[in-house]
Amino acid sequence: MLVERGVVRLPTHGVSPHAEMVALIGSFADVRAELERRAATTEAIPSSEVQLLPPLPRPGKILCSTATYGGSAERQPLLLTLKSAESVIGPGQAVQLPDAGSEWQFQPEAELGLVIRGPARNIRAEDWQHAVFGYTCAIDVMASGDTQFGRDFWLAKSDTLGPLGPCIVTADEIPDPQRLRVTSWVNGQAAQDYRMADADYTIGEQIALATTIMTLHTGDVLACGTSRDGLRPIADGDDVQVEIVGVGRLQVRVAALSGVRA
Amino acid sequence: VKLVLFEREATVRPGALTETGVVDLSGVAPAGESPQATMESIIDAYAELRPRFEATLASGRGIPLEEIRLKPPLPRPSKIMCCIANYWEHAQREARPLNMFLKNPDAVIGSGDTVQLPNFSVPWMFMHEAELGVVLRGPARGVNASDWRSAVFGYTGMMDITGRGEGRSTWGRGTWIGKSFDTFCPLGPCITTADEIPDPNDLWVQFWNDGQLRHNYNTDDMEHRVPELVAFASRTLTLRSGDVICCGTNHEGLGPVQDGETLELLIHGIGRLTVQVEDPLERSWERGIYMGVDSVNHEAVRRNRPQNAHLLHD
Repeated sequence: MLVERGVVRLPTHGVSPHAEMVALIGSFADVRAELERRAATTEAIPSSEVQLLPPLPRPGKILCSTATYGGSAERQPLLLTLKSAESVIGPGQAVQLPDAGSEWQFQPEAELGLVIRGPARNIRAEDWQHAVFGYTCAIDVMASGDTQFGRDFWLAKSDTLGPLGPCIVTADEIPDPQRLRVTSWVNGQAAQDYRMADADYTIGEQIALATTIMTLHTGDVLACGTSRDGLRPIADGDDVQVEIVGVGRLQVRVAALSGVRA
Repeated sequence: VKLVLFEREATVRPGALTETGVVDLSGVAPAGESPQATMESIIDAYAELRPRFEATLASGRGIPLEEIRLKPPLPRPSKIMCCIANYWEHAQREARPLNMFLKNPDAVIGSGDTVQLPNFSVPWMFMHEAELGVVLRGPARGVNASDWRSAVFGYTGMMDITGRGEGRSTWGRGTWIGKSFDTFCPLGPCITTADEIPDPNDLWVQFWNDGQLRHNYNTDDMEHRVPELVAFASRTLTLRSGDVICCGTNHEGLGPVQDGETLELLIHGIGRLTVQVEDPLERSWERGIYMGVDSVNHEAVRRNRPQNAHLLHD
């Protein structure tokens, strides 16, 4: 748990880090009082002494929505695409851009990530909260250059192109995620800045479509799409930061991946 | 060896498919935390396990298939990577650029299971695609095409069930999400280990819908062959043991799937995968190979063309 004093350690069960988090989400209602007691009383490790890892290192599924925010363009049908668990990295780690050729650019899309509590199937838009355990910052590094056969979506599935973190904020701390503001910076310069309220499709509509197509399971992530404004390409050595006030700030580095040409 | 997972006495066990039935390998294989993990451990330790498997197969008696329930050999791969297009289909042109998409790994079902069409009518039709699945051994990244065998453990059959937008284009253009509905990934019946398949680009693929032959092609028609597929996928993603690359289909045999039908995929030398179809909306389409907009069945297009077709235009 992230607390003001640092990080409070919780007991583990000897399974993989991802499975630990899935188990914690599954048992959260039962263990919550104990967690709150520990948060208040247990000694914290100063943040400077730990390296945060992605809060969900290997989600079963990562769905990226095509929802947009604040655009004036005609509303397009809502769709979803899958990224792979290989894309996940955590705070401070490096996005490794594939060497896809000079015609390709990669842009970090700052997104609100919904952390799923499942199984969730055929959830109506107005019932979306049943499927959401909490929130995190998601960076969907998207490729642009050629859309033939969805080549752009394929390159965006590369290892390391889906940073998550720094934490999962439980849903009770965010009374209305439609009021959140999503902001990003590249090398300290402002990039994206949009409000979830300006969505062409609400969180409920996104959850409804996703769960019409497939069952979402605990620890899956639905990244809620992004604004087209303020996107900028990234390159070797860049620093990318995304902040959603109330959720956290996620910072990653950018490295060009040499020797592996995609 | 034709490796399977099967259910008996309420537990899922690894086994080997033989002519007399399934030989239980649970006594000589490591048990994982899940059936998928069990098969992944077998893939990782296969060189060491193989003599034990062969000894068990030599002495063990097969359990008749009627007495067990086959499960998908990889119930929950971490990634299912699918080729887009990738067969020549008699076209006279340059090879199209290779590309892939990810299919929902929770959509896997096994032989004897049921494809459930969704209660969702935006896709106008649902179709079958019969594909060769390459079962991977990892971790592998940046594999050279010449080293492809180092990342390949075996082969399986896969039906890429697909919701269509317009004509035969996949619903959700660019995202390929029309292929990721729950139950849209029948996989199996077994993993045939690579030593039994000298050349994955010389396999005969057949597919029947209620006994009607639809797909009937050889994998030598691939535009981009298995070594190139392994190299391509591993340039983008770290390949893991138990991941699957599906090689795309020859679209000449595409057709609709609908309520009550039985789908059968036979890849000669691998095995036969059979599933049912259920549709809560009981939609119906004309049975047979798809002949609408974009049909690529050249022979059938010619056969079905009106005799005076040349008078119908202009």
